[in-house]
Amino acid sequence: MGAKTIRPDRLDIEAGRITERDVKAAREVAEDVMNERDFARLATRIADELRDSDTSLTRAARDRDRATPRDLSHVESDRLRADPPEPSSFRRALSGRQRKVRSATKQKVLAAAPASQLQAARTMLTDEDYAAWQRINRQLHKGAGDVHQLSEDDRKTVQRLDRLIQSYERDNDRTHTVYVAVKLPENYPDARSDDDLPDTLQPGTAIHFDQFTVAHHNLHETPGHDNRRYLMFEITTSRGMYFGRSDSLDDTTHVLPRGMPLRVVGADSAPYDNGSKGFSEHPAIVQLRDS
Amino acid sequence: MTDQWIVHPNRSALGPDEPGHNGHYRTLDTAATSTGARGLCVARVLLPPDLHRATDNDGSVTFTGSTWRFVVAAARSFAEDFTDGPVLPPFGINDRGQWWWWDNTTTDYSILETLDAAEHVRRYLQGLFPNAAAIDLADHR
Repeated sequence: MGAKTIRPDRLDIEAGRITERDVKAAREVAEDVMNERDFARLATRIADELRDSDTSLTRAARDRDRATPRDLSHVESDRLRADPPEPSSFRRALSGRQRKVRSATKQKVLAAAPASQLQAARTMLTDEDYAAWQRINRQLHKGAGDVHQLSEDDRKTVQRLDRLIQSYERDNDRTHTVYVAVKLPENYPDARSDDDLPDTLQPGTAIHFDQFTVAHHNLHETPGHDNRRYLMFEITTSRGMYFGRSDSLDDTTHVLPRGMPLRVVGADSAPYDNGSKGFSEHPAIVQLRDS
Repeated sequence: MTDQWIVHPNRSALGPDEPGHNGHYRTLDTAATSTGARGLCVARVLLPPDLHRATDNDGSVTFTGSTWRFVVAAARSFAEDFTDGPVLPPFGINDRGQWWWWDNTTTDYSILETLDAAEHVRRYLQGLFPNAAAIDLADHR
């Protein structure tokens, strides 16, 4: 009988620089409860946190080497900090004043951005051709959010858009509540009630957007709001960048960063402004917030 | 001046739940996911033949939820998709602490948290489905 290997039962992430051996040990601990991608995500998150504490590298080098972008968002004012909407509360359209405030920050950030970041925004967001958006998002997802698994050119595009969004997060002073639709798997019934939501979206569940995500502040403007084959996520967060307009046109687009951890906090049947001076109701919204 | 920084709508167009498509996410702690109790509040409505394309074999449709609020919202959603003509307004709206109900009444508390909750639900379902042959309610909470 050969010698036994003592299997560690925990990983001390504050012990110092992470090594290949630490990662291997963590993999042994985690392999029973995680799949490969989940493990990769945990490893990159640990590595990012350790890299941030490494004072031998410049801030720019640490940012470049990170797998996921640093969260620079902040909300200092209690008045501007928001919780997820109360049960059954009326979801108003974003007011003109709120649009103007967010749009002014957007314009300020774009005016100060270097040409390389603006080109990344064109490529990823505004050009009609969305091949790069799909390819990069697909690779980010498959790489569990690790930008260093992308080609050099795609990595640069991603990190430039990261920095543009971070500039907005640095200047922004308020919480956002935004919406994005997700298609239900074919084997699920139409989502008309909290009973119809997948087990994997029960309160307390953690989810992760490895990709960039385009959301909207106005529920009625979000594709899928009136289609029961789609789940609607209501995300309360200080992350991301407003890309909507300031005027009365229906465009309250908000781009969420990649590598974004969220937690399900509940479900609600939500009456909402339908954009035509009336109201509609979404029967089963999934509420999430930063985790 | 036209704003050139407008996200193209094809980035958030509806589509499959797959890597690369907008909104695709991954659940992290599936091992810790618990299945909440289902079917705590139940309404079974026996509908007329013209709606049988959307019902179970016995002509009924069952709406369930963790609270009556989800049940009435599910019923209204069904009515929107499968019945003709105008549908009743949403059952209730909480606007800054004031509740506005579908029958134009208001309260400063939720009528679904009173002893009469089931009767309010029944009356609403009768309004949504005026030709229903039967409405059965069950509260298993």
